[in-house]
Amino acid sequence: MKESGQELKGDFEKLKEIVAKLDNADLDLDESLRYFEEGAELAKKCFGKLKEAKNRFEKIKISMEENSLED
Amino acid sequence: MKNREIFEKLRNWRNALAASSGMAPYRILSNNALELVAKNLPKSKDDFLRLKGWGEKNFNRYGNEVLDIIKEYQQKSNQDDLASRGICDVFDNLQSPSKEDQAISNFESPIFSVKEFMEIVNDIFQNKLGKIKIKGELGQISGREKGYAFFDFFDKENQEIKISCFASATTLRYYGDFLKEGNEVVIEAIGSLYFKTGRFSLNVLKIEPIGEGAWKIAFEKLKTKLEKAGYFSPERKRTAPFFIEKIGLITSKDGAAINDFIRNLGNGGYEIFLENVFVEGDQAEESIIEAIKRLNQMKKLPDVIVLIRGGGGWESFKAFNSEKVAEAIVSSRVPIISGIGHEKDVTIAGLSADLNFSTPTAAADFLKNHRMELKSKITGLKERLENDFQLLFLEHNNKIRDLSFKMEKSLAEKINRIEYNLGFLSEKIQKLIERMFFQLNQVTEGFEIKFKWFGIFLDREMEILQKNQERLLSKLEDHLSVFENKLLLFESKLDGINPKRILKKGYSVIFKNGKAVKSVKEIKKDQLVKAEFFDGKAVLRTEEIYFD
Repeated sequence: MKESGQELKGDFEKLKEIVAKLDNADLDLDESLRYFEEGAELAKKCFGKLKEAKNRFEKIKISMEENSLED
Repeated sequence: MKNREIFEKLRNWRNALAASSGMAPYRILSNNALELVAKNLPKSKDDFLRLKGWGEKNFNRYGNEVLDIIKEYQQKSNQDDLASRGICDVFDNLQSPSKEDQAISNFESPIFSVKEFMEIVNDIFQNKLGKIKIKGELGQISGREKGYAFFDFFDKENQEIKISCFASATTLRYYGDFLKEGNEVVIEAIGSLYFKTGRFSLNVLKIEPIGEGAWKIAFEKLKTKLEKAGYFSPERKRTAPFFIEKIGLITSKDGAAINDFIRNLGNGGYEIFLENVFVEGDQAEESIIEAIKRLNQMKKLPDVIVLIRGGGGWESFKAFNSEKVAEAIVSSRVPIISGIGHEKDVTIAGLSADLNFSTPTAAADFLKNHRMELKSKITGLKERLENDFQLLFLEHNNKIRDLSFKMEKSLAEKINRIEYNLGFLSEKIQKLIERMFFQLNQVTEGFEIKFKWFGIFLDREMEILQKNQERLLSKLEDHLSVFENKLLLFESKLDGINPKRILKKGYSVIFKNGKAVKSVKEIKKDQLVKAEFFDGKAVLRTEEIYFD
């Protein structure tokens, strides 16, 4: 969990860098597109991880509720 | 001292094992673990596992051997008992020969030494008769300054009758307050003969006042004493552990208290270890103390010990007003919760307990509420945890969405800009092309006109040319025919003056460079000339030139 959290943080930072790079007006379209592609891939990954975390959380939550309703 | 014997046996066994295996003795089993075995004489695996220092591993390794040692020891000590009983029987027979007629006739009286006899008497008093309770009045007490007490104990009805008594420092420590000349008390004692003097005396183990009034005074005194000792002080008392699961329950399994307690405890999945004790009577004090000790020796300690009993008369609470029990309570490593008697009952045990409740039901209610509080705490924490996660999730989700949105925007802007620039450029280019086309059109248009004109011009020229040509041709034809006629005429004329006819007459013509030489001046000396004769030609060299 911690590891994937760190990874998420890393990806997130990269994404931020890419956005900053994209804001650079000197970049030509080719480069911009390459960055955008990379960024989109990262964003997808981040969303995926987040969704995974959320799913796990929901699962834990349900099992927690099942247990706490026992008595 | 019996414990000592088995302990020594166990220790010898262990040391031998250590010597043969080369392990340090304490690595095999600690002295503590052996002492607990000697004290409790466990009979089964479960018994073992309840002792400190005895885990599954130790039991599997050494349990059976230790059990054998215990068994052997118990058999032997039974035999010893039987042996001493044999002596007793002999003694019985000695005392009352009339009882067993058959035996007497064959009975040959054994002879004992003085020491043997005294041993028999002491054995009977100590082991067969054991502790005896005797009611009487206290006489003068001496020896207290040395830490113990000698006194005479008088029969209340007949002051002539008395017996010598001895009270050890231990006895004085607990019951010294009741030891006052003239007091009527109940003593618990074991009789014995003193070898050196042959004097019989009672070793007093316990002194109790007689009557409710005396008990109340004793209670107040003990309360003051223990209060001073700090037994009841709030600083000493421990709070209930955060999570209570394992309960050591000390009470009588047949009393009303246990039902009240269990019924009100609720279904919290507790693990309850019942220590079935006497809650009143002579054995109550000792059994309660032992129960507290046993629970404190469990391998996995209980979370709390609950000490309860139902209501009753003042005599019923004797054990709960005992200094020894109070001592055991404050020495317990496990916090003790008490619920003794009814609402109004105040006991020393209750005052000493870490948490005191008025009844068994109240003690159970406390545990139930404690659990409920814990549950609601956990529920609260769980909710907070959930909320925190949701917030964290949303925060991250928004951040990533924000970033991808920014990224898209940034790229879109770039594309727009480029598009705009391209648009501008292409517009320019279009305009340029349009202009070019316009110019081209203009040029071609002019060219076309010119070309057209040129065609017309050309056509006319051609026409003229053709006409001229025709005219020229006809003229040429005219000329030709005239010329032909002239030529024919000329030929016929010429034939008459054909040079060849002349040449036949002996003339020849000299040619220089293809031209007929008309004058001698035209030729020089040593020049090659051609001479044409009527029947051929010859090349001639001029030798000499002569002018006429």
